[in-house]
Amino acid sequence: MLLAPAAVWYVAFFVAPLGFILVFSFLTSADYGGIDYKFNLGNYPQLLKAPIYLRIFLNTIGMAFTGTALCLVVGFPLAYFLATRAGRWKNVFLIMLIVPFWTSFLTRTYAWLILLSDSGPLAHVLRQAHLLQGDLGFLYTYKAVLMGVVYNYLPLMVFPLYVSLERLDKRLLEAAKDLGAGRLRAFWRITVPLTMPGILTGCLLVFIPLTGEYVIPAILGGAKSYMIGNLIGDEFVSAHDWAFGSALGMAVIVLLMVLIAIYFRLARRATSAEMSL
Amino acid sequence: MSRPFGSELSRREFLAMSALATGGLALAACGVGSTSTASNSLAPVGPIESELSVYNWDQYLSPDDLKAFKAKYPSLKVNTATYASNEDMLAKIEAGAKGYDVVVPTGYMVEIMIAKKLLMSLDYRQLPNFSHVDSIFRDPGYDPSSKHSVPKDWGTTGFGVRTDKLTLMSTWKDFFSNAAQYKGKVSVLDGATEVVGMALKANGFSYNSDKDSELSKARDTLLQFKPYVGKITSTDYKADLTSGNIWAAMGWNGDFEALTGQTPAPPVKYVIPSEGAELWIDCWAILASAPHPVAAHTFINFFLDPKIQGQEIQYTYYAQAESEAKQYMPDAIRNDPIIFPSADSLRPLETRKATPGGQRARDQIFAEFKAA
Repeated sequence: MLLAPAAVWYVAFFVAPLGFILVFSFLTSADYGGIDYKFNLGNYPQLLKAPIYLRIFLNTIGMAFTGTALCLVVGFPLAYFLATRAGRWKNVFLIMLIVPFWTSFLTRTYAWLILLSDSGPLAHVLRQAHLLQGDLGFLYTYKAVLMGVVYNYLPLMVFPLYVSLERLDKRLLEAAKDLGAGRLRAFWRITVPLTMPGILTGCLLVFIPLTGEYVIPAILGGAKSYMIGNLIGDEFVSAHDWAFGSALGMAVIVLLMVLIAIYFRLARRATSAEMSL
Repeated sequence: MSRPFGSELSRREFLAMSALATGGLALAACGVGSTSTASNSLAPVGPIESELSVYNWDQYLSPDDLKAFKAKYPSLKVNTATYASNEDMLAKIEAGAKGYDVVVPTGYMVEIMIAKKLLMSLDYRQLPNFSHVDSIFRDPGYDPSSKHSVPKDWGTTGFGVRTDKLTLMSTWKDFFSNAAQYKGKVSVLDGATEVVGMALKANGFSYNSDKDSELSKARDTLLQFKPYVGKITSTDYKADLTSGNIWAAMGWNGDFEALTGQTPAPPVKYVIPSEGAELWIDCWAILASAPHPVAAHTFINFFLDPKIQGQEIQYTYYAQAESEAKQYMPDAIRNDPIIFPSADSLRPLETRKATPGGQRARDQIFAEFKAA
């Protein structure tokens, strides 16, 4: 009985929508949108038939991996600083990391549009300082997308890392030092393995939503980055091919399940490494 | 399943429209309702409801005129929402969005929505201002006898160029093939119909061609053009041309004219390419599911008033279907050849006629274009 509310929630918000997508992916699209309730196995083969769809998948995964790696590279030193060096300013810094997220995601991304514009403040300052001639040329490129990704997803990476680093037993580092390990060696042999659960969680939290990222490529990428999220959106909204859009959605889900399975294997290995230490 | 959608804008309509453009059209005698009305499923007449929801394109209704409407009907609560393309709007309505009353589909979309039974038959007893609409717009091919729609305004789809950055071009062929000169600085509309259609025009084919061989030529043109495209947008190009992020943009005439009204006005010039382009009519229509049909008729009737139309054009910069409105607009607009093009430049234009197969082919080419 106590489980009933959870079950209702689970059915309403998870099983039912997913069920619709699954069913739609085996039906036929009506002319100018909508669904004809005729069984159709053709949506999945269509995915493989035209090479563009495969290319869009690869582009998206590539973007998600690169974006995650960049978040890690930028986020780890930040989290390390927060956990070990920030002292009594720690809470101030943590709040500063959160406050921008009280404004809408869309507004923040559009703000970059103005900042990075060829007639925007950044270009203006660089020109004044004679560091730039002509146009900035940064907006509407793949680089601009990655920058938007790092900016928007960084907290998702930093917080799990921060928690892991905070919990790290500092005495282990001292012990490593006493036993003659240099700082770098101690970092690679002690800090990294022990914070691996945080690293993996952060990567997962960034990577999964990134595979469905739709807004950042559309706003900052201009015509240069077209991801699965954009394709699915267009299939539903512009092309009105709901059946094929559903098949694309299912393909993304399957792909993510495979990647998450890999994650769990890695995570289990990481935790058992921690245990054995 | 390839039922061709729609009859064309007839030659008579077309010549009349050209005449309208040059200002030489004598107003035909206009009797209300003579060409209009359906006897079945008439919209109910009754007291005006307390609310109204208008689903419209962005920046397509003057806030001042909306204020005037609200002042005239103070008890009416008016909600507005916007969309960026006909397809967006259709998708939302078809997905079951409830509560909208008035929508603004383009001619071809009126036809699709009628076929899908999404539009209400208009009650012309509640639209006395329809008498001001020029007779050539009374019986359009996409909606015989104007049963389900009244024209809001009309315009052309061409391109605009920052003349301080680029030399002006006059053809679609140049627009697509000169792109190396403006790498990353060119934008196209976010619409399969427009983008594939213009690539067809650049190759000398019809805007509405559904022939595989012609579509595949258009595809080649687009894929060669793609590396130079900076942005695909139907909403941002005004701002991008102003800021200099974009130097050349495919878009709608009124948008480029609106830029000339800005201070300072960016040096942008609009071109109807010599191969031709699209001529479109956007319409007021009421959804079959509209919860407030009386308020919706009241709203449309208000905006059909020639005086209001004369003010609307100073905001939207799109020509209306009422010659009478011309006396209410400033000379600069009345004589603007971008808003009221010459008969010569209107001649090669085409209106969109969609077929399911052709639309699907366009969508596929456009997806490929976007992903390239």
